[in-house]
Formats: sequence, structure tokens, C-alpha cells
Amino acid sequence: MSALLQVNDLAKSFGGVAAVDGVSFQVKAGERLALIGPNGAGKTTCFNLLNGQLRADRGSVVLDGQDITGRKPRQIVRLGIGRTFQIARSFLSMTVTEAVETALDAATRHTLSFRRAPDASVRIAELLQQVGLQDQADRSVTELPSGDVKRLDLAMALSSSPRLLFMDEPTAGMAAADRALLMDQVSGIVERSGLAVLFTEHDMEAVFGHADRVIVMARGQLIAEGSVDEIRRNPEVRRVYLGRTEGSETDA
Amino acid sequence: MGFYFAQALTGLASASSLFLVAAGLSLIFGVTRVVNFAHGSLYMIGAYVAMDVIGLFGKVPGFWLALPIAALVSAAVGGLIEVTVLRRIYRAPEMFQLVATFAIVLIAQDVAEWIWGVADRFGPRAPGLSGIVFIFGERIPEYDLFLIAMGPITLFLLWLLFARTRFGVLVRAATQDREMAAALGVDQAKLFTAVFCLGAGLAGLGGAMQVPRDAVTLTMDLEIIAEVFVITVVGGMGSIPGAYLAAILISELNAFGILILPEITLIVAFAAMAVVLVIRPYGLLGRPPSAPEVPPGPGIGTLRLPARVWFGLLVVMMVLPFFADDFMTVLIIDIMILGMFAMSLQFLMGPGGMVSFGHAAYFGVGAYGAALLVHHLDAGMGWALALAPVAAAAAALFFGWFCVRLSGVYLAMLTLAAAQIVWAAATQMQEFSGGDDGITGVWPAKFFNDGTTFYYLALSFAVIAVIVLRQATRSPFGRALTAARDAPLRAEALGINVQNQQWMAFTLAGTVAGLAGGLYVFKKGSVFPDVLAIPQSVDALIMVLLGGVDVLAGALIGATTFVVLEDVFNQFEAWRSMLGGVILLIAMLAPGGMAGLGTLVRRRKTA
Repeated sequence: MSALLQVNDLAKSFGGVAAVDGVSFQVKAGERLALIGPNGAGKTTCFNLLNGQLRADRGSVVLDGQDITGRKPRQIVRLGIGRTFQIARSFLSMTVTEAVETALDAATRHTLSFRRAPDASVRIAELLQQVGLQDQADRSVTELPSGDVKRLDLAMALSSSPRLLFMDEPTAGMAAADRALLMDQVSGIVERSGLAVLFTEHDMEAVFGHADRVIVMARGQLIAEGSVDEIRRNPEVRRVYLGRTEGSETDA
Repeated sequence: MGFYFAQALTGLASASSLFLVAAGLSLIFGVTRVVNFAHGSLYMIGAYVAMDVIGLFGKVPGFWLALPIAALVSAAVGGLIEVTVLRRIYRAPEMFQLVATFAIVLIAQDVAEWIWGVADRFGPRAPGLSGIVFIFGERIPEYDLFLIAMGPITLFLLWLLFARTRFGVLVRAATQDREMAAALGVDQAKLFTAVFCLGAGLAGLGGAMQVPRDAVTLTMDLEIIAEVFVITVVGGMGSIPGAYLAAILISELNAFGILILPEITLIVAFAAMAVVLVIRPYGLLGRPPSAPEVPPGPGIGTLRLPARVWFGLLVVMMVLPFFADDFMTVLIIDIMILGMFAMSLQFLMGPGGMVSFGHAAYFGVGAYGAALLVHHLDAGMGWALALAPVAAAAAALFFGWFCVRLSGVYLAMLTLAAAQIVWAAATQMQEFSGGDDGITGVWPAKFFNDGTTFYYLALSFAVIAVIVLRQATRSPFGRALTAARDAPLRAEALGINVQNQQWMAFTLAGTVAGLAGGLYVFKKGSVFPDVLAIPQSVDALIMVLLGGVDVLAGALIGATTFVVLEDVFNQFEAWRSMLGGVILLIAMLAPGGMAGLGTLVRRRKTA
């Protein structure tokens, strides 16, 4: 498989603290790549650099041969990269359907239109079905439990039919059974559409059960890369990361 | 050389009073998150009290007693305002707080007029500092040197207060993180009152210090507030050193700007502010606000009346002239014109989430655009009415470009500054716009001279405004705008250009306001700079507040209430206070506005 996304030597500091310090990796077409690491490792900063929310100090991001370093989030989404947020701040004044409809309008570049966009109810139903929100279509976003807000966030990210999806802790704040269900749904979408996914996750079950490959970050740098089994056995990963996860798992 | 040096000193001297008032405003905002419109009133009260003290004790020692006494009286009035009004509205949205503090401005104007009368007062020169010194051969008033010294001295004293006292530590903690300060057991109520007193005292001192330089008038409250807003925004809200830097920057620009563009010095200040804000959106020394915005609830700002209710209303409006007398007809025309103005603001504030303190700019540009075309080119009413929204759109396009780069109170204060520029231009360009005398004799075409035909003209314009704004709210355009308001980062990551969306919304709101302004000028037959002034902008805010910001129709309810109230209160001498009182009551008792009380509105179901 060829590289869909090539990240080279990406770096970002905040007031002298290197949050991301020379990170390089690839995402291949159609793969599910997990980015793991302890809290503060720089995962979210890395995501914010990749989708253009933050400007990198150095390094480059290349999507399918095209350099996208320094592009704005709205330009990057148009090149086929969708994103979900760790803390999903959704459109609280809308219903679930309206929120997805808005995302579709943005994807089809209708946001300056004063006329009603062409009927998208079939596509909306399909997107809601994919993330398991079909029964919540008419509910107000404010009424949704936090797990469903994350599902809605995913449905909105999928509305632009991306080639690559960044998911920042897609199951954070969900109950165990719900997490497994969501990750199964994501895997289903990947298999059907050939979408590539880069996701961060604290839940090791989700990572080991759903990732094709894993990269590990600690203190802003990549410390390991490999298959699920390789990462599971890697002594350095166990030292910096897995030891602490056990602790945070009992917190949850 | 000497001349420029003297000019620079004049600038520094003007900076000191501005700094004191701005520091007070900034301090209050930093801790309470309230933009205090009444800060200019406290400055005015300080100046009047200083005059009284001088009158009572004579020039010596009167003047030197006046400074501390004015500060204390203003501090006491500020404390009273905080305890009686602001304490009840800290959790309300910005607009309510602003309108409530403006209600205090209205009441303070009446009270000041009642105590001190309408005549301007001129203070004596400061005893002991009435002389002139020569620097580089230029005459410099000694008092200016005193003022120049007062700036850094106050800055230093404030720094001591914040760096070395427990009170100062608490204020800094509360400025940086309100929740954290509360969690640490700070008695918020006492701290807020104390900070308000301190800020008000600074304003009072600033007012007293101006007495030897300027006349004391009943309009000095609003005159200073626009400049002080510019300074706090440029310096960074909540930053005292920032306020000092900005006061010097703006005063120097004014001092030298007057040499280049004597007619419109405010333009220089605005240009400086625009440059600073584009480079540093939170001001020279400010930082992004830490407190999260109030999260929106279901349908906030985008609720809509069902179409059949609108049709019912239209039918009523169409037959109304057959039952109404002339007086009623005129009143309803007023309601329709102001209703269009208020609806355009509702669109900006509701779906757009942008509070404008200067929406009158676009209403006024529409009015002036139409009037100037008639006055200078002898154009017909049709051309004038066509130009009004176009001129307003151009102005909104220009100022909006700067405004949408900011959000929250920063955006609001920039809109106010923009409106002040246009107002200043209208008052100062005597030749072109008639200055304070305005433009008169702008009468409608013969056919519309009759009240009833003009009524139907206004009605058809109002129908257009309702259709456009209602459609804009429900269209993909309005939905994306609301998305940008609810979760800007999310919207941007979906491909929505948040600033562009807001810019277009700002322009649309300005255009509709301009359409209303065009009608207004033909209804009145004249236009004066008042239509661009702060009270006109606040009137629109009050209408939206009265009706409730959640629904377009609320603005019409608000406009109706406002026009009726004004008509009733106008018969009394203290009508401004009465209006202010009603506003305060609504802000404190019914923050959802009157539309929020009714059950007219239902949540729109998606088709």
C-alpha cells in the first residue's frame, strides 16, 4: 500500500516547551492507524497541526503527493481529510438532523446559499445510520448524552466523504459496551468505504482490537511503531505507557 | 521642532484623564466581565462634583479638595449601582448587561440635569498651576505638566495596589480565572463591589482633572465613552498598563492627526485601532478571554414564527389604515421602520451571535445616503430609496471586515467605534452633510405624500425585510452562520469559512438597516447626526431586548413596545429615566424578553 499521508519532522513548541518534537510517520490508504501515548504526549497538538488548526514550527504534511503544510482547517477538509474532536463541541442550538445537514451544506459548499439546498434526507439518514444515531434524528443536540454527541461529531466529519479521518479519542467518556459498538461501527465504515483512519485512544482494548498498526508518542516524540503485537511486546512502550494506562483505567 | 514637541505634550496631557477612565473600565471588566456603559456617567458626575466643591470652598483650597471628593462621590455612586443593579445581572448575556448599564446612563442624565441644570459650566484654572512655562520656545500650560505626571503616578499607585496588597492579589486572581478565585473562597460579592467602587472612583477623578481644561456638560458622558472603549480595546481588556499605552497612543494620534485631518481625527484613531486589532486581536497587552461563552440552547436566535402567523399579521396590517386615525398611522409607520432596524440587529445577534453596539451606523448611512442624493443631486425618491441600502451595504462591508476578526465584547466595542467614526464625519463635514444642522427638506414624492400611501410603502418594505431575514435565517447560509456561532472550531473543520460567513451576515444586517434608514428620512423629511449616535444604536438593542433575541418577530414586538413607551413617556419631563427604569426591570426580571413570555413560538420541525 502507498502512503496516503506523509508526515515529516513535524514540530511545535509552546513557550519553549516542545509539545511535538520532530514527528514523522505515514498513514497508508485504507488503514486504521492508532496514535497512542500517555497524557501530555502531544497527540492532540499533533492532530491540531495535521488539520491546520495550529501552525507547525517546522516539518511538512503531504497528502497524496500534495504539500498541505500551513493550510487552514477549511482548506484541508476540502482536500479530503475529516476530523472529530476530543471534546466534541457541537451545534447546540440545532437538532441532530440539522447539524448533519449543515455539515453537508459545508461539504457541498452551499454555505452562502439563500435557497434551500437540494433534499439531502437520504444522505442524512445514511450518515446517521452509519454511526447509530438514526433514532435520535429529531432530538436537540443539547439533549444528547455525551457518547451520542461524539457519534454526531463523527457523522458530521463523514459528511464530506473524506479519504482520511482523524479521530481524537473517539470513545472518551463512553461506557465500555458503547465504546466497543462505536469502534465496530468505525471499522465497518472503513471496510465499506476504504477510508483511512488515524485515531488516538486511551482504551487499549479499542486500540488492540481495531488498529491495523500503532504508533506511540511520548514527550512529543515517536518512540515506537509497529503492528499491534509488536507494540504490545515492546518493552519501552510498556515502560512509558502501559504502566500508566493501568492506573488511568482504574480511574475511569 | 518646538511646535511638534508642544503638540506631543498636549497629547500626553489629554492621555491622563482618558487613562484614568479607561483603567477603571478595564479593571471592572477584568473582574466582573461587564462592559460598563455608565462609566462615562461616573466621569461626568466627578466633573460636576468637582465644580460644586470649587464653588463651595473657593478656588483655594477648593480645587485640591475637589479631586479626592469627586473620586469618592463617584466611587460611592458606583458602589450603589453595583449593589442595586449589576449584582443581579452578572450571569446574563453581554447584551443585557450593556443595555442595563445604558439604562443607568439615561437615568444619570436626568438626575444630573435635575441637580446641575442644562447650562455648560466652565471651571477655573488650577490654583498654583495657572501659569505657562516655555519649552523650546513654545508655551506650555503648567497644568498640562501636572496632568502628564498624573498618568504614570496613577499607574504606579495601581501597580503597588495590585502587586503589594491582598486586595490586589484577589483582583488579579479574579481577572485571570474567575472560577478559580471563587473556588479559593474569595467573597465575590464584596470583591466585585470594591472593584466597582475603585473603577468608578478613577472615572470620577478623571472627570475632576478635566475641569480646568474643558467645559463640564451633560453630554460629556457619551463623548468620552466611545474614546475610552477604543482605548480599552486597543490596550487589551482588563490590562491597566495596556490602557496607559493605548491612551498615550490614541491621544498622540489625536494630537498629530488634528494637524493632518483636522475634520475627522477619529478616523486616525480608528485606523490605529484597526491595525492593532488585526495584528493583535486582543489588544496590545490583552489576552484571549478565559471564561467560556454562555452555551446556546435549542433554537436560540433562530426560532421562527410559522408562516401563517406572518400572513395573519400581514392581513391585519393591510386593513389597519381603514380603522386607524392619522396619528395611529404615523405611529405604526414608525414602528415598521424601527422594526426593520431592530430585526436586522436581531439577525446579527441571534443567528449571527454578534452583538453590535453601533448598528445605527448602517441605519444612518442609509438615511444620509438617501438625503444626500436628494440634497446634492436633486434625485427622486426612487433613486434615493435604492441608494440607501446600497450605501449601508458598502459601509457594513468596510467596517464588517474589521469587526468579524474579533468576537464577543471586542467585536461589540469595535462596532461602536465604527459608528462613532461615521457620526463624527456627519457632524464635522459641514459642507457636505450639513453638520449638526443636518439635511432638511427631503420630502417623499407627491404620490406618497399622503400618510396612507406612505404607510403601504413602508409596509411593503417591511414585508421585504421580513422575507429576506427569515429566509436568511433558515437557509444554508443562516444555518452555517449559526454553526459558526455555536462551535467555531467545529464549523471551520467542516469547511465553513467562519469569518466570511459572519462578514456576509454583518453586511446583510447593515443593508436591511440601511433600507429602514432610507424610509426614515422620507418619513421625517430630514436627517440629523443623531441617527448615527450611540443612543440610536442602543435603541435598537433595547428593542431586541424587549422582544427577546431568540426570534425575528421579537424585534417587531420590541419595536412596538418601544415606540409606544416612548410616546407615552415623552409627555413627562423625566421620560429618559422612565425608559431606563423599564429597561432595568426587563433586564432583571425577564431576560428572555417578551417573546420569551409568550407561547407564540414553536420549534420548527425539519421537513
